[in-house]
Amino acid sequence: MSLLGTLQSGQRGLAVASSGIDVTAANVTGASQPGFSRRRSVSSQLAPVQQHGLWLGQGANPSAVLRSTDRLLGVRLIDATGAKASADTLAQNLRVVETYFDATNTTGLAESLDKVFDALGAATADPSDASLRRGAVHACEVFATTTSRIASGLADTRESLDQQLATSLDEVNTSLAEIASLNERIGKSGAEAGPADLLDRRDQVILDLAGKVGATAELKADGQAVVYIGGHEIVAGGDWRALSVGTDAAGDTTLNVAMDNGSFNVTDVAGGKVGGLVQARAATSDWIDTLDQFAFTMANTFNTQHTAGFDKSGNPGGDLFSVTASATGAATGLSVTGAIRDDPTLLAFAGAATALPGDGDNLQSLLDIEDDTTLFAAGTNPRATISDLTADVGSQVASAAGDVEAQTALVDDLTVLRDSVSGVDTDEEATHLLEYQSAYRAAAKVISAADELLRTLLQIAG
Amino acid sequence: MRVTQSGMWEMIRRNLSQTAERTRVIEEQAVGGMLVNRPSDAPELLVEIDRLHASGMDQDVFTKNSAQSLAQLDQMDAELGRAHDALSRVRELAVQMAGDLPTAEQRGYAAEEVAALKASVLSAANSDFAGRYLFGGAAWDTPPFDTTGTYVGSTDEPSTRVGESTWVTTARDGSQIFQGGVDIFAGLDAFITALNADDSAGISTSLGDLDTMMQQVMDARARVGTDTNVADDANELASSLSMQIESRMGELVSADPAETYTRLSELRASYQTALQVAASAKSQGLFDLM
Repeated sequence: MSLLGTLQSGQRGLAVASSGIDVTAANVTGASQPGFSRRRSVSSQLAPVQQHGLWLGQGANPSAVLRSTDRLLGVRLIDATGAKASADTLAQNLRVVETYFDATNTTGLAESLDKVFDALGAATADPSDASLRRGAVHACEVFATTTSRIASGLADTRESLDQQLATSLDEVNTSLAEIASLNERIGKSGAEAGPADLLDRRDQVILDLAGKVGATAELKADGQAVVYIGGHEIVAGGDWRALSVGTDAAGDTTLNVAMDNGSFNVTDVAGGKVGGLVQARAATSDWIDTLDQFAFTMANTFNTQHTAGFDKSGNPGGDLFSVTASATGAATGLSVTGAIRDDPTLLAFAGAATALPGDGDNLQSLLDIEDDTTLFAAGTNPRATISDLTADVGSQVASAAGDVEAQTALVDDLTVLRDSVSGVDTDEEATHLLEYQSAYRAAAKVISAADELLRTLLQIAG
Repeated sequence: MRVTQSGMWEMIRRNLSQTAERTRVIEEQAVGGMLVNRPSDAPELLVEIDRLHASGMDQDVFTKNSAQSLAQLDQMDAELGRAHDALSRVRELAVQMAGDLPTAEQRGYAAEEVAALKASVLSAANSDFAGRYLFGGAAWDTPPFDTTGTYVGSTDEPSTRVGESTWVTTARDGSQIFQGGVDIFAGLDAFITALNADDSAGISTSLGDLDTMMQQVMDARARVGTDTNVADDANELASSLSMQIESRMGELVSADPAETYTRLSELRASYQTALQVAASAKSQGLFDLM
């Protein structure tokens, strides 16, 4: 090899070392960035040349900057992130709903129902007693108010969930558009060896999207990603389909993906935060329906029995509760009728029109409602019906909390594994830096030595 | 496996967060003294907790109702005892005034005493407890017998709930007691008439009726006694159940202070350790030595 060739080899050595230092610098500065994958500088040897019968190497050129990633691990992390976000969102929102169902029984629905029957039971001691009647009316008012308060709270929660869904879908659509845009840019820049920053950004947006809507992704060899929701292709190349909120025939919220000729429903297959919101909404709606049915049945049962009795003046009893004509909204609108609220003597405790002060025959019939197991489909009495509802809320919250723990542990484990592949170890980078520094100095020495030899030759010639 | 700095910090952050969350839960239990603070804390226990709570509230009502019923029944027993005593005295007088030995004057004095005893029986029949007439049935707001001894009360006997399916009659149909077999007031009037008329045959007839009158009152006392026993048992049962329910509720929902405090101490120590680990994790790396 000529001295000029040696100079060029030294120059290439500087380029390789310089490239390594650049990559190390990028790794160190990106170490704490979410989604950053460590890079490594790759160089390739040049073909050797034959000189004086000897094959001599020409050094190496920097050829690529590669990301350290594990595609399978990435896909699993995307799946697990969607499941975790779904469980998180469900648990958070159900915990809000849970606050309306008091486990300690001091202000809850079950307590208020107990108080109604206890007040009626106390009134058996003297059905004509004004204070006992006032106590019974008050207990009925507390029961109605408590029922209404819980139902209103659940309705507010459902409305809040709808608002969150709309906001979340805006974010989802923004992410879908960004992934499509990144796909295009990555496609134009070349295969997977293309811009690592774009690939990192694309992967991070997909991971975020998984958290938002439970999307999964297929990473293609050309570096592009195809994104799916419940198996439906949402992003392919630079194309993407928008998600929107709709309402089905039953009035329940649906998630739809826009198509050229309409849309298809992905409500049941969405995951992530959106999936969690949908599940929380469905559970809340079920509890609202249960509460409505409970309030409707109880009010009408009380009213039917109450109108069979006679008030303190011997007049036939009127309705005890005001309630809607159908079960829908019955809990929210439940109240004690104004006339009875203002005048407890209208409580129809007597069984006969003579309405003797000790006549509590109808009061006994009203008390019998407490143990009536024919009122509800489950064959439970009113008290047990409320207990079952509360237990259902508690079970679903506990189950969601358990899911959160399991999914969090899985995501944590996968994150650690991903970090072990793609994360930046600053000690490792420091050794790389020292190595590249050393290589750079060595290449510089080669250039310096060749330069000195050339000068010597020139002086001899000169 | 490669361990990176960000991975290490993430692990520290996670451990701190988990320990803090566990500490929060135990602190809540320690402050409130309750293991179950929301339905999700023990959904499997909720149905039992609800049932116990409802039953506990019921026992409060039963205790109150049975105590009030017992007071009424005691009063009822005392009044029937008063009536019985009066009738016993009337019977003594009837025995003394029977036959041909007593003079008309003696019978006249006896008639005056019997009239007073009749008034005592009428007073007992019209007795009340806190304004509620005990022998007027459901019509307990007015005296059940007028001055002539005519019953103006109700034949409907109201009951008070003192147990889950236990009721006691707390106002009796006075007509059944005082006029059921023999009309006590009419019988006493007849006895007074016979005494005043110095009618030995009439006095003998009244003597026979008096045994029936006393038996009527005794029968009523027996029924009241039965109700008293029922109310007493209900009261004891309600008190006993209240204690058992409270105990069971304590087992289910109350936090053991010693255990809670111990766990809290452990968690706080664990949290402190995690903080120290976090502080030491920023130890020098290779860059610091370069």
